[in-house]
Amino acid sequence: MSKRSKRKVLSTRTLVRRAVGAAAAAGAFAVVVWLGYRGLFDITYAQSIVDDLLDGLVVTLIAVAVVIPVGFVVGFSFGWARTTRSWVLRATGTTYVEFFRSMPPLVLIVFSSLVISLLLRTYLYVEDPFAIALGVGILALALHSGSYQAEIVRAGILSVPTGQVEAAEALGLTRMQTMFRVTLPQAFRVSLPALGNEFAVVIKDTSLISAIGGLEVSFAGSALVRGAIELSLNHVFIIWVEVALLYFLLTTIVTVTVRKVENRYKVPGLEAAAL
Amino acid sequence: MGTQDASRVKVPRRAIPSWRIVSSAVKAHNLSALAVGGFLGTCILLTFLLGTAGVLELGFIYTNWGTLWGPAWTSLVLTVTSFLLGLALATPLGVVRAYAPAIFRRTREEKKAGASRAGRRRAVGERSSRRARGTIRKALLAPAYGLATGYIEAIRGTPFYVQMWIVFYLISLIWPRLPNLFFIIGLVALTLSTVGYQAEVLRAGFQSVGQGQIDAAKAVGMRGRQIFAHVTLPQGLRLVVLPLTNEWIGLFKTTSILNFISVQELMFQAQELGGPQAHPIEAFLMVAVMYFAILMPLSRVVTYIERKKRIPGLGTPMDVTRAAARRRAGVTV
Amino acid sequence: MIQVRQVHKSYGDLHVLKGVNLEIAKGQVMCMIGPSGSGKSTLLRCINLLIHPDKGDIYIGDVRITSPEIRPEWVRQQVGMVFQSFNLFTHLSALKNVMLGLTRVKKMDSEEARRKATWDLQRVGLGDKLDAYPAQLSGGQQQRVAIARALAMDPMAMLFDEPTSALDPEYIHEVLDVMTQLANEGMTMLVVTHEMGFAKNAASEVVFMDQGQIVEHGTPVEIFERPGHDRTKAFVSKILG
Repeated sequence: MSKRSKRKVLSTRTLVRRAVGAAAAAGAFAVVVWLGYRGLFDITYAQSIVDDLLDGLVVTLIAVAVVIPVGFVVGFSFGWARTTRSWVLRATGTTYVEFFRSMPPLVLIVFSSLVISLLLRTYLYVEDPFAIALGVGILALALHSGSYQAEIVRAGILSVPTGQVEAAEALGLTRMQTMFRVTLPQAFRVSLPALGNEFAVVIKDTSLISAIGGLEVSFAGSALVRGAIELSLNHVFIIWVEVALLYFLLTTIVTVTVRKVENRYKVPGLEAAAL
Repeated sequence: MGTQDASRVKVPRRAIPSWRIVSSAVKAHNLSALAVGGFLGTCILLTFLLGTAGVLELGFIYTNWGTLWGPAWTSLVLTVTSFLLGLALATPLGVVRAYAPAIFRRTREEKKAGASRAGRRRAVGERSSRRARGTIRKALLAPAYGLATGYIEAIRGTPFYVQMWIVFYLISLIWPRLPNLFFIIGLVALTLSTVGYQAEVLRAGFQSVGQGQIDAAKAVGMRGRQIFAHVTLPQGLRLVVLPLTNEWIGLFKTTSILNFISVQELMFQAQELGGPQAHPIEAFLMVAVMYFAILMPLSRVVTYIERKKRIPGLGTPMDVTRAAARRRAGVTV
Repeated sequence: MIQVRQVHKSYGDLHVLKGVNLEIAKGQVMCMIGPSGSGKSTLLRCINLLIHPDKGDIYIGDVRITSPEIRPEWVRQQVGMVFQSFNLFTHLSALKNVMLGLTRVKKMDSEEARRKATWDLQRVGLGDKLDAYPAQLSGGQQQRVAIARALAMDPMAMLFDEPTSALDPEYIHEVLDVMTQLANEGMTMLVVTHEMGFAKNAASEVVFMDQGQIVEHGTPVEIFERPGHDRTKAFVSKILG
């Protein structure tokens, strides 16, 4: 089937607006750099720490790459389970969601890590369970995110009008076929914005892994701070501002990407279901 | 025509006796509550078994249980205070974000009129001072909008952990000898963070109030500020309660991050028990129960309210149970 | 062709269908009228097994579809259904809506399915709207797509559940025209409707249902102008005003 051309013709106004926005951003950045060289802040220091922070960024990205898919798989399963007719599945799903949503992610990460460490040391005589404890902490974060994703998935599935499910059955489609061909495609489109938001939350929550020794960006930041405190508080600010900028960059990339995906799969004539 | 055939009429939302829906919802509610209760029961049982087996030291729990009340109270105070402060500060931000784009959007008529001489002359009945006020308002509004958006995006794009440290160094630099320094830093950090999120919630709330009602108010002759006070605000409040409650819950969970700057809240105490006193499992159980006990009822309340306030025709989630209730009550189609 | 024998259906304490008997011959167009809650929609849904009767039997041709060995999917291929609220798949274009059943249930290959779907959409007068999405179509057009979707499966019979009740007045006739055309082509149809005009023009038999039972049936002229039972008289007079 010929793909309809999805390229919209952008009006001159939009193009001009975007150009101005980009120019403003570039200009602002240039001003900041110039101020740096003029001595407002220690720009050489700012440049020197970038490498350390980027090393941490890699770990952050790895953590995100683990948490989001695992969280989605788990979350989708439990979220879907909450929409089935079997009360067993529904109860299990509800339990999972209610438990992991009521706990702060930090508590889950820290204590799952500590408990596993303790258990491994006492009962399996593992000398240094650090790596496993870290892994467990990340997993705990994944499960926590999964509980939110479960709710999002569930809301998406339930938002598909039951009449369409009935029509699909009336055509002779099996339950499985109805799920995959009718319900899920629409549920997916409805859930996208909320899922995108949740992914941004995951990126921010990876900062908590620093508490159990994960060498991600915030940990790198804290380590640098310990050194920089002797220099001056200005340097401490530089560090945290750069860390914040890195997170901001990540979350923006994710949000923009999700919006692009939304547009690609948008159904003409239909706005996303309210809230 | 005078037909009384009900299927010709758009079936109103309460076509089924409401007690039937409620009873099924409550049954489902009870079922899930039962499941959660069952899970908790098994956990308690497990705790006792493990305790007797020697893995858990129940005595530790018994002795140290009391140490949690104080920190829990601290967490609560922090949450409530920052939430209320945040609400107050977020309202103007939300208002600016909600209405500035509309003020700046020139209607087609205004654009056409703006080009011609006639258009630039004063309209009938318009005082020139109003015009001037409008321009001043626009001039002030643009940077306000920019700042508000910048702030909100910055808060929402960065982790609280980082925000906390920035506030920490900022305040300890300026007022190093403030009493209750860490508590205040925590409070400020929480407030600044929640303002960002609440402002977005409020903006969405203001913008979601039905345009039709605003048009009706305009038709009656009400002006902007009156419309806001009498139409948008009361309706918006209703729309906004749910997301704000969720934000409150999130805020309470965020207080746990304050343990890194030595604020004596729940997580801090738990770390105390779990780390230095080397009883992580017991500590986790206690603290989990605390958080659970405070937050679970709240989120159940939220879910319950969500269920009740469906708006038909907007792609609403129709609960499996609810659909089943409809079928059982004999309403087909 | 379709026989309903002593069908009962209850929801809890609500006894919706109380021993319904019906027979529809091949090529016959039967209209069902009756107050809401009389069980018309339930009966319709029993025939394509969207709802399972508690008691009684339903035959399509020689096949007893209420027997436990029969796969509901097979039954639904034999009998098509058109709903009051259209129930089009909003994420698919009109063409894809019609093709879905062909490719997934009848296992046609997609080229063939596309050809057939195009032809069926042209049949209902929507040959120029193949790539339109439901949200871009008017109510009447959406319902015609729904009819094409059911028609594409080449069913032996078609069930219509108040197909025009949710339509704005200006779109009703375009749907009724399609339905009349189908009737003239010899399709077996069971239509729950309030459109008396359609019943008079296209139906060979009208059935009045009330409180879960068939009260009276006969030709449109008989039912509308010379109803026998009091209940029929009362209902008909209310509808005809």
